[in-house]
Amino acid sequence: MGKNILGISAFYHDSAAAIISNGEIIAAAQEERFSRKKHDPRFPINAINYCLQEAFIEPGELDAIVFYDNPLRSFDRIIKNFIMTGENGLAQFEKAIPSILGVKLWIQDYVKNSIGTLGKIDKLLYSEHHLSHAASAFYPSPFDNAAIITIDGVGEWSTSTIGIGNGNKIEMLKEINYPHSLGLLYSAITYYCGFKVNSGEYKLMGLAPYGKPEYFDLILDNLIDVKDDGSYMLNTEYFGYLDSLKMTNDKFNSLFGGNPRDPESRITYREMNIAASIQKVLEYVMLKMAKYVRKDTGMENLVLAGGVALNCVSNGLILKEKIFDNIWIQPAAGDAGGALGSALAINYLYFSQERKLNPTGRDSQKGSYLGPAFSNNEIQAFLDRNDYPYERIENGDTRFTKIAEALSEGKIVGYFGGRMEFGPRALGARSIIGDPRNIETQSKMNLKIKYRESFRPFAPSALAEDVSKYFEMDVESPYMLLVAPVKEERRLPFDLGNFLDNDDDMIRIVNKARSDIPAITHVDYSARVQTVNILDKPDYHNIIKKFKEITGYGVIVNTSFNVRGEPIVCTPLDAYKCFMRSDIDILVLEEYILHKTNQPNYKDKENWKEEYELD
Amino acid sequence: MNSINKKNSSKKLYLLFDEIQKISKNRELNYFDLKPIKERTSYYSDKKVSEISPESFEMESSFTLDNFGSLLEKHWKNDGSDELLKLIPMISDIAKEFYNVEKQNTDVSPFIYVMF
Repeated sequence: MGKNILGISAFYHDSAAAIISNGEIIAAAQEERFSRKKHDPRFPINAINYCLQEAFIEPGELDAIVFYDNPLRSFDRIIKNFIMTGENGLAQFEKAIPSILGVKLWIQDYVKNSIGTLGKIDKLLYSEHHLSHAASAFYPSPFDNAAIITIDGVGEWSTSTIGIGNGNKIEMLKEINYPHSLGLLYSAITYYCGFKVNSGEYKLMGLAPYGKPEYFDLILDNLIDVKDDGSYMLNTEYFGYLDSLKMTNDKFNSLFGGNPRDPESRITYREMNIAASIQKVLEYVMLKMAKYVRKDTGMENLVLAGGVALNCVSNGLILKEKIFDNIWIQPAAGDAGGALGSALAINYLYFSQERKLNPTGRDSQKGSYLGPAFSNNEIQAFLDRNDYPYERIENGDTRFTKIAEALSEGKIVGYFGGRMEFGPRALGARSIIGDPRNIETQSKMNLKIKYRESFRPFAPSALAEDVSKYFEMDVESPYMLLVAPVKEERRLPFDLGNFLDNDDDMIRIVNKARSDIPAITHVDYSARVQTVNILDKPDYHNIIKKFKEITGYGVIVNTSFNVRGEPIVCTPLDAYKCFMRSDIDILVLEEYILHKTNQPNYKDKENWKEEYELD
Repeated sequence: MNSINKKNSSKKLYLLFDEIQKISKNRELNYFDLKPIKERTSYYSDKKVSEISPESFEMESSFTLDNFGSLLEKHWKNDGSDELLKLIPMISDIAKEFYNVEKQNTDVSPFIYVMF
C-alpha cells in the first residue's frame, strides 16, 4: 500500500517541506516563499501546511515524517571541531552552541507542536544529510540505475559523497569529510570577494567569465590538494570557518595580497580574476571526480545534488566532456531539496516501496512545478477587491500572442502562471521575461527591475525543439542547470581584454553586443540555458512559440520574479507588489493582464527596499 | 529567558568551553587532519556502512530534551570518543537552559546561526 511521507529540511539555510504519496511527488516548497524572508532557515511551518493542503492529507494520515539531517551527528562534529580548534574557537562557540542546543536539536518538538503528530509510526525519522541529497538526485531521475555524486558545504560530517542507485536502492560508497570541503572553499572565496556566503556563490560563478584564472596555481599550491581521482583535502590554516565567524583569515588575506572586498563596493579585476580562478579549480576537481566515478562504478548515468551541483558551468563541462552518457541534476540541489530527498529515501529505503520510472521516459520531478497555484477566480477576487485595472483574455492563443507581441516591442513582462517552482530558479511560472535581441535588456533588467549588480547575466528560455539552433547543446536542460556556448555563427566579435585593459566599467562591457541574442550571451559567449518542453509547461512554451512566430527567435530572457534580496514571488499580491516597485511594464496573472500605465498610484512604504536584506 | 537566567546560562556555556579546552590540551586528539597528506594517493574514505537499512533512519528512542544525554552517550561510546563523555552532564544542563522551541514570529531568531 502506498505511503504518505512528509520531508522537512530546516535550520541551516532554505528550509523547506515536501510531500510524497504512493511514490509520487505531490508538493514541495521553500519556507522563504511564504514568510518572504530570503533563505529563511526557520522551521517551515508554512511550507508544511501548504504541502498537506495540496496533497489533501491530514497530519494523522502521514505514514512517516522525516528530517533531512541527523542533528546528533552534526552536534558531534561541532563539539569535535571545538576540541580541534582550541581556545581560538570561542567566538564561534558562543554562537553555535546556543543555536544547536537551543533550537536545532529539537526538530521533533517543532513537528509535534506544529502539526500535532509524528506520523503513524509515532517517531520522527532522520535521514543522513548526503543520503537526502543523493535520494533527491536519484529517485526523481529518469534512470533505473546511476552513479551519484553529492557535494555541498557540509552535512553532519560529509562534504562530498559518491554512491550508486539501482532500482529502489541507494548505496553510499565513499565520502570526503569536514573540514575538507569544496563547497566551503568556494564559499570562502565568495566571502573574500565581498558576496554573502550561501547566496553569493551564484554571483561569483557569474563574475568568473570577466576574469582570468591567474590565481589557479596559487589555489592549488596552497589551499587544496587534489588527487587524480578528484578527491581533495584543504589546508585549513588559511580558513576562518573552523574557529571564527569569518570564512577566511589573515593568512588567506596575505596569500591573495589584501583584505576581503567590502560588500557593495566596486568590483575590481582582482575579484574577477579570483572568481575565474576558483571556478577553474572547481571544474578541475569536478571533472576528475566525474571521470573517477564513471570508471569506478561503471555506470552510464550520473545524477548530482548538493549546493555545488547548482554550479551550472561545471555541470555543463561534465556534459561537454561526455564522461557519462546521461546526466540529471536535482533542481533543488541545495538544502531545500533535502526535504524531498529525505521523503523519497523513506519511501524506498525504509518502506521498501517499488520504484516506478516515469513511463514517458522523462523524469518524475514534474518540471519542478511543485508549489502553489492560484485560480482565475482567486486572482479576479484579488484584483477586484483592490480596484486594480486589468484585461482578462480567456483565450490562451490570443493571450500568448499578446504577451509575445509586448516582448517583441521591448516590454518587460512579469509572468505568473501555474504552480510555483521548487528550487532556486524561476522556470516560467514566476518569471520576469524579455526580448533577448535587445542590447539594453540586460542592464535594464539588472538595474531598474531587479536592482542588482550590473554584471550579472540573464538566462535564456528556449523551445526545447530549437535549442541547438542557438546553443552548442543537443540535450534538454529543463532546470537551467547546464551552461552551453552560444552558437558560433551567432556570435559577434568581442574582445573582453580590450575592455578590461581600459577600465573595469562593467556597464560598458555588459552593453556591448556579443551575439544576435545579446541579453542572454555572457562575456565568454556562454548561456545558462533552460529548455522548455511543451509537456512540462505548455503555457510558457506557447509564449516562446508565439514570440518565434513574430520575431523568428524561439528564445526569450528569463529571470526570477523578484527584486534583489526578495524571495521569488509566491502569490498574486507578491507579484503585484514587485510589479509596482520595479520597471516591469506588464503583469500577467494567469488569464489577467495588467499594464503599468493603467495602474493607480501605488502607495508603498518609502523604505520598502529595506524589507529585503541585500543578498 | 530573563537576565539572571541568561547570565547563568552564559556562565555554564563558558564552563563547557573551558572543559572542552582541557580535553583539547590533555590528549593528543586527532578527529580530523588539518592539512593535506601529500603521500596519500586518495582522500576518499569508504563509507562504514554502504547499504542503507531501515533502522538507520531511526534514533534508538525519541530525541527529546530528557533523553538527549543518553543518546549522546551511546553515540560517543560507539565511536570510541570516551574522552567526551564527561561533557554530557554539562551539555544536557545547558540544553535545558537554552531550549528555545518557540512559535514562529516575524523575526529570525538570533538562536539560528546559519554559517554552516
